[in-house]
Amino acid sequence: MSTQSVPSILFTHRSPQHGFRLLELPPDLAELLASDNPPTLELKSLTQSSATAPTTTPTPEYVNLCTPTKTYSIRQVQSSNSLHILTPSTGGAVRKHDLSVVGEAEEQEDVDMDRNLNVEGTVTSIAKCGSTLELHTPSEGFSATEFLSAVVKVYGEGAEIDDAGKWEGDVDMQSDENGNTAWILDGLFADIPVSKAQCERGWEEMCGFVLPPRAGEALASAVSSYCWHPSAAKKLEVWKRIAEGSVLQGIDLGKQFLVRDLWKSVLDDDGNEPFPMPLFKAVVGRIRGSGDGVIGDLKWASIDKDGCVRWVGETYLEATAPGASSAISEGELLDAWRDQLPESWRDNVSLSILPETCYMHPEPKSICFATEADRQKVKKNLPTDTSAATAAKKTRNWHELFKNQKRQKR
Amino acid sequence: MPSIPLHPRPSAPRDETHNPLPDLLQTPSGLALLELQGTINFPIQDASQPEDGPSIALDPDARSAIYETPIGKLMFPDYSAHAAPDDNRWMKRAYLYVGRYQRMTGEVKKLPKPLAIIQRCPKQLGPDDASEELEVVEIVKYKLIFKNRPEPVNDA
Repeated sequence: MSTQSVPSILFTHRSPQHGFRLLELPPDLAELLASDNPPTLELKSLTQSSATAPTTTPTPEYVNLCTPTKTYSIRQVQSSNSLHILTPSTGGAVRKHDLSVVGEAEEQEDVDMDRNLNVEGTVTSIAKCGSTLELHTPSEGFSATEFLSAVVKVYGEGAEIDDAGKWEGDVDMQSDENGNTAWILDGLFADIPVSKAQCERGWEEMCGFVLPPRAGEALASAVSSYCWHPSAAKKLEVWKRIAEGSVLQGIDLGKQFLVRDLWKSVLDDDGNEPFPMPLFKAVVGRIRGSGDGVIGDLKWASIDKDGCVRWVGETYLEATAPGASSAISEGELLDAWRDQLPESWRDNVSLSILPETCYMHPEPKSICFATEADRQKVKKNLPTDTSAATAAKKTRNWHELFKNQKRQKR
Repeated sequence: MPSIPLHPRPSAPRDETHNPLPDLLQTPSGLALLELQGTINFPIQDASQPEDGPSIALDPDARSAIYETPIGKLMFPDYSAHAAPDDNRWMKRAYLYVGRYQRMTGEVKKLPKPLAIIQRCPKQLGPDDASEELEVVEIVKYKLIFKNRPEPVNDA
């Protein structure tokens, strides 16, 4: 078949070229972007300032792509093929005598170019990409806790601000009205390379709280100086006050109660605050039942019994036996754990409700808290050859695909 | 820069230039993808790789001027604009003439995963604003791929 009779499209190369990047979209992200009202995505990386401690090993440079709720790690994949990005062109920027390269239009410059070349239009290459960006979600997911605890100061290890305890909050819980807390949190989360929803979850998990500057004080530029998370011992202390206060005031933690009433029950006899109210709210937020509204808006709450019992056990273990050297016996843990709880919740205590990753048995009958580093170790021992092979098949990365075969030959 | 926003829609208005490509390859912005085994060499490109933003041409005359260099012709021999839209047999064959005497055979393929074309947002007024913003210009679902060697053809 003679193809010369078929109308064709003139293909040109435009100079100067344009800067583009190609990003491969997983199905869920493609769907999100194609929706009627797609959210603005964010590219987040760990900043220098958040990797403060000079002693830590240099963190690898990376960028994560975040939707409001999800996080993907970005990997640049080189291709031996070149990908050209085409755009329609009027052909006006083509020099007439250059066309001799593609056809015999040279001698008849006055004749209409399109008809003579039998072309019905022009497309031009405006960019060339040698690589694409692929998105990945590691199987263990992303956790903001690790990043947050690196930036946020620990409350309760002698590092309190000098006026801790004197913090003047509004007992009526209206302190958020000026929006400072929300603003500070937004600033804090902007530096954490995971999505905002995951940041919020991590923040709630670690009982993070904000001590905003008092009215009239200017905001410091480093928002992390207002952000705290309590030590395990501090968390336990807060819980103790809550448990005692609720008994004294006859508040049933399992049912809906006014958070304000609980806060009043926690105060000293002369009305002094034993700890800042934002910390109190953070702890209540951590142990309350789901469906009680968002963090900032804690008016009514009820405590999720099972979750709270688990949390108290975990926190107690972290506070008293943070490592293998300080391990305690299982019986000791169970007894102390029960003592932390209201009378009617005591029967719920059992080792089996603790999340498996949170503790270790250095010896058969003793138990201690598993730190983040210990958990990482356990995780690394886990992956089996089969899972690695299937993962390699999915990524079209032939290094990973053949890695296992090489190993077997040896 | 801790957080760089990536806007899901392009800020620039759509290009209204007539798009000669088959409907399937046409996108709202007009952008399309062509994959080639090998490269197309241009003398200017070697000097200044235009990774980000426009390159500065070496030729002083060409500075700030846009020009296009013809490479060849694209052809979809089995394509007809009047065929049923679900008839995709034409996708199996596409030609790319390079110059007059060489031809590559390729095809139109659906991408396994759609690709987002991303660029820096065109700077708004206020050049002192150093913040960087990105935008998705287009999401493409198909590509033209030429993975075979060029074969010699007769011009006539």
